[in-house]
Amino acid sequence: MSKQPNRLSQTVNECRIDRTKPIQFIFNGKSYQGYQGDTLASALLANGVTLIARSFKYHRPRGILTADAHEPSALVQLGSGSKCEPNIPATTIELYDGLEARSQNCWPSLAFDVMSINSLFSPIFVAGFYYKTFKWPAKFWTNFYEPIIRKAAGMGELSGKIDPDTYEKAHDHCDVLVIGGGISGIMAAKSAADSGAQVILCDENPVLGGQISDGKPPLEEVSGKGPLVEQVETLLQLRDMNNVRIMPRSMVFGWYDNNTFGVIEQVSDHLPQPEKNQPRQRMRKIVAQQIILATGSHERSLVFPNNDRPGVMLASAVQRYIRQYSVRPGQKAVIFTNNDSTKKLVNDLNSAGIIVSAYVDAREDITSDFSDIQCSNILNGYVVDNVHGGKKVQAVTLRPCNGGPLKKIDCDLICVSGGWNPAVQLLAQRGQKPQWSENYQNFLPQFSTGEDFLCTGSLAGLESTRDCLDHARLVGEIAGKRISGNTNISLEKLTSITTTKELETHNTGFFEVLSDKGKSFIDLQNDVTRKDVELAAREGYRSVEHVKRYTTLGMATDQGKTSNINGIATLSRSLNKPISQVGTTGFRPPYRPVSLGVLAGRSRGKHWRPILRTPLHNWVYAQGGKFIESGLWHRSQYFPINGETMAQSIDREVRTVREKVGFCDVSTLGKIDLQGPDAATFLNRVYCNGFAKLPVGRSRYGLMLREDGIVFDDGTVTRLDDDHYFITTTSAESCSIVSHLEYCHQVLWPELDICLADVGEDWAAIALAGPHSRKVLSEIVDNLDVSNDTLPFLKAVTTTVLGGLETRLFRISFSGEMAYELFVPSQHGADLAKMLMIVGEKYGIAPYGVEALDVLRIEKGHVSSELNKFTTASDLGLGGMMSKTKDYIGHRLSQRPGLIAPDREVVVGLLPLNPKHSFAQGAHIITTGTSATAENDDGYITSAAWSPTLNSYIGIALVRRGRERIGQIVDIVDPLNGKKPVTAKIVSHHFYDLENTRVTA
Amino acid sequence: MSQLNTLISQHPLEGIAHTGVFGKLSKTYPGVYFETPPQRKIIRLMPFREKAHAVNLILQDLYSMTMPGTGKFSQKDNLTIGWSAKNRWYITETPNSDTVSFCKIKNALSGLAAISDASQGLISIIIDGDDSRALISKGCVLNLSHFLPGDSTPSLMAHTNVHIYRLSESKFEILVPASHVTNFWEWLCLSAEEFGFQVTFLDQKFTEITENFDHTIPFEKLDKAT
Repeated sequence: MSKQPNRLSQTVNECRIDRTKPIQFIFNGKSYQGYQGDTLASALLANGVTLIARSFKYHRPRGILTADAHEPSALVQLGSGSKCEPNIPATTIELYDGLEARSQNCWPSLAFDVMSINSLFSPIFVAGFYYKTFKWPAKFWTNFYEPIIRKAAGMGELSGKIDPDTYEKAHDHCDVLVIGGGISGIMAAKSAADSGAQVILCDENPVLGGQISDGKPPLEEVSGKGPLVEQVETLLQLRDMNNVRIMPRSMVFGWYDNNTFGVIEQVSDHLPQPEKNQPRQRMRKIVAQQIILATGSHERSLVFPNNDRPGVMLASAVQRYIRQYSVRPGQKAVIFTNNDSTKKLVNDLNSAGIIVSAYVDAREDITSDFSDIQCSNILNGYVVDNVHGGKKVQAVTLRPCNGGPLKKIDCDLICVSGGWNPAVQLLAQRGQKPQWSENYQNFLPQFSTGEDFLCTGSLAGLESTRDCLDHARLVGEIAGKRISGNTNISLEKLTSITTTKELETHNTGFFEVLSDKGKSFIDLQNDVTRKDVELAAREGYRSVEHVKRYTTLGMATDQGKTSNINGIATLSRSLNKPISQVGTTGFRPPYRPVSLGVLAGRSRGKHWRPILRTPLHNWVYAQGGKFIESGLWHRSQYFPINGETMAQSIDREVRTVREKVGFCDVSTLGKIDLQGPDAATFLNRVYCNGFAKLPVGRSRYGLMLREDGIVFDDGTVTRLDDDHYFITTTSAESCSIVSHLEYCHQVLWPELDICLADVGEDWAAIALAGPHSRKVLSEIVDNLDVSNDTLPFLKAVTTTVLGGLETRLFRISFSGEMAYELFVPSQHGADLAKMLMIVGEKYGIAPYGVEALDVLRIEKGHVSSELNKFTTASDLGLGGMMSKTKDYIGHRLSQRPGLIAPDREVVVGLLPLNPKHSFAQGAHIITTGTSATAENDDGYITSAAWSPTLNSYIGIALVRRGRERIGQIVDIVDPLNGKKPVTAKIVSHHFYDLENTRVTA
Repeated sequence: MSQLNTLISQHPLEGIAHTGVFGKLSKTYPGVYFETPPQRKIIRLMPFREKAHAVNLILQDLYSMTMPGTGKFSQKDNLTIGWSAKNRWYITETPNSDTVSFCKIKNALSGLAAISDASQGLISIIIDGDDSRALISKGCVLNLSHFLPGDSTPSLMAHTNVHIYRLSESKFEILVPASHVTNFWEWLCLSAEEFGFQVTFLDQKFTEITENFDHTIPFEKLDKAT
């Protein structure tokens, strides 16, 4: 195990690591040591490991570029077994004991990757090459080209196993949400909290403070009482305030409507194992009144030849590794910059014992004072012409901008700074178009202030610590005042700070070195080079959005955070158009990749959606009944006995109902209680048939239309009392009907005096059907004459059964047999079922499920699946129910020519000439002798079943001009499933008991 | 046939809910407590147009209470009257009390209000404890800073239409539709694991049935807290 050769001896200022807690970890099968507080990246650098991965397309050696979450190169495969996870930036992985990680996209090893041969073919693999190649021969694509490309593509691999971790979700509310826990965010949060507002402060890092991470300011601040030391105290105060919640390790990934934010909290990712019952991650939805964005800015690199070699790092990253992790990323460094932010780095490098071989500033005419830089080789007006070395930087060649001799300097570390990009992504998610600032040479928010948000810190363009703190304090005060209800707040002071600072700033617009000495990368993660963007421009792409898609610039997991601006600058030069006109691409959530597991939360496996259970559920289970999903319900499907198959069970259940007696759980029916003096009027308006004269104690079938005249639902209405009705609906439409009726009541006719209540949960419902149903019924009712004279078809009574159990008893049939529907209080549903079995045993009673129910209703010819959102009442053979004397919803539009055309598809029955020939729902109808084409399509099967009653397969179909074609022979074709056509005769869809003698017996 | 005395109304959580302490214990005690009260009478009350005042007079006469305003509930002795939706209230009575009779209130309010019996369709679960708010926030978007003791509201929790009463700073009563309650209970228990939770049944008869119930519904076993 190595002993961290690049770990600096203990310094006063290291703040992230705890040397008293060493940690062992494994990278590519080799053991290393780090410390608690390290990231995988810092620990690897401390151990002298700079080669981390291979790039996406060219399999070039890659190291660590940043110290941030948007690291484009050092992506590793983390963990093993079912916890294996690909494409994790090493810079985000908090080290823990036993951590295992390995390089990805390399074979057989990181050091020797066979696929690096791709580099030889780079002239072919330019941007958009897949639009121009692999086209011939065409048949090679499916069997040869595509499998190879798929095999080669992608980074990392999934385990293929079930994720063993749990994920949670939570909802939070606050007055002020501060996004970003750097110095500006901390100050803004404190300022807002001082006003009494409830504040949430989020930061994606484990330690807040940005530059002052965890309370230890940088070197130059230790002795003084500078602004950063003040912030240390502010952070400590924040932690003690009751109205402040600090959420570290919480990344705000999306800004949604109504100021709802999606946040991912890493709960236990940094632990070797989650604690028992502890989730891995939590997704929070935070709703805020005011938002303060202090998301900071990202340093960008520069584009020069071989700028992707391990050892090329962002200057700010080098600084952080030295200051926060006590890591020496190299021995001899060259700084390549175009701005003054790298000056302090020289002192950090010196203090870390790193030789500063050269300070290369690309600006030719600069007024900066370099006297405070302790470097003997300051080169203004020079650029990096090439980087030497393969798996590691070994030297750079420098070139004067205005021509002149080249200089080659040995080094193993290049610290690059091309400027800073404000993190505008969240604002762009809300539709803002970032605006180019010539002074800052970056994209600023289009609007830094709004009614409910304020930007501060470097996001607002501010560059100095003092400016950030002053601005943030003011922003926090304003947010606090807004929460207090003060709407008359001037933002003039706020905007004057940012405007003045912008005018005072004149950053240099230098982005790229024009040299052909090697590949100059813009997007490291997708291997997009400067030449790719130039090629796109030559090939006619003008829009930055098109160039993005054509080259894949900015389409990797870092979403262009390290590449966008440089790519835009290259495009700007290629198009000879200023950057302000080229613009930038848009941004969508998530801000950084989020795991699918946390988005799913608890909604996985059995719990991916709610399961609804009827009151008879446990009883059905105890009987050995099988369940089927019907929407969210688990309904009893069939009740096999003695090893029956499903088909055998259904046949038996159907015959039992036809010949003896059976009962079915119909508790899923929608049930609505309607009361009030205007209840009859209301019913008359919502149903197409009449209800005004429905007598008390009677039921009636009701047909409800949509406003457009299409059938909405069919159900029943029972009049329990003068102003009291009980409505049933189909199970599938129960929620829709309740909503519809509420809409009618509250919006269309608020003047009607009615009350509606969804009472579906209050009642269990059982359909008792069959020739012996009356006998069974007579043995459970209390003192009720159930003869046909007293309880004829469609009669309804409120009574009791089983010695006092309140029951609503309706004589209604869906099966085509003598039948009753019994509604009892829901928690007694199972009792009723048990007693029916006991009482009905001597009559041969058996329960039946929805499969048998469907066969029975198909035999009878009741429509069900024919209500498919396209059919009219007339199509269904129910046109006679449409009243001609009253108005009702759907009345007018049901008369549209298209809905009354004579050639519409209408409900008919189908009997195969060979009763044993089956056909499926969805099969199509064509005239015999014609071919199965769309032109010959005459309709389709809507219901199909084997009928044990008729000893034949039967079906209901929607057939063009169907009623005119009764008796015609047609073919039922099912080309999708490759079945042979079935010849059948068009018949009435009422296959059984046409005269309704059994129903009314 | 006189068999009502032998009928046992089946609580939807029979065989599903188990007494005990489960999940992770922090601070050596559960963060959440679940109580499943015995089934109580719940009457759904919806006054007809312009009859609210008359309804209140009768309620005042019967129970010395009136319908509270939007978003509120009021309690007196064994009785709770809670706003539940536009023009709708629930009258809830604790079990073994005989104050509220469905027939009595229906007769008293005849012509003035729509009355229906919701006792069987809504299942009550009481949640209490230091972490009760965090638990509710997992599945419910309600802003608990503005939902105070004495407040009542319908809401969505774990994809289920529920009704919530806030009884105290940490105590909530959730009314769950019977068809959803098994699924809801499973979600509740799994979500409460990280806080540790204790389940108590307040109905001795319920407990007996649960213990004697001899068939199991498939459900992930919860680890007993150690």
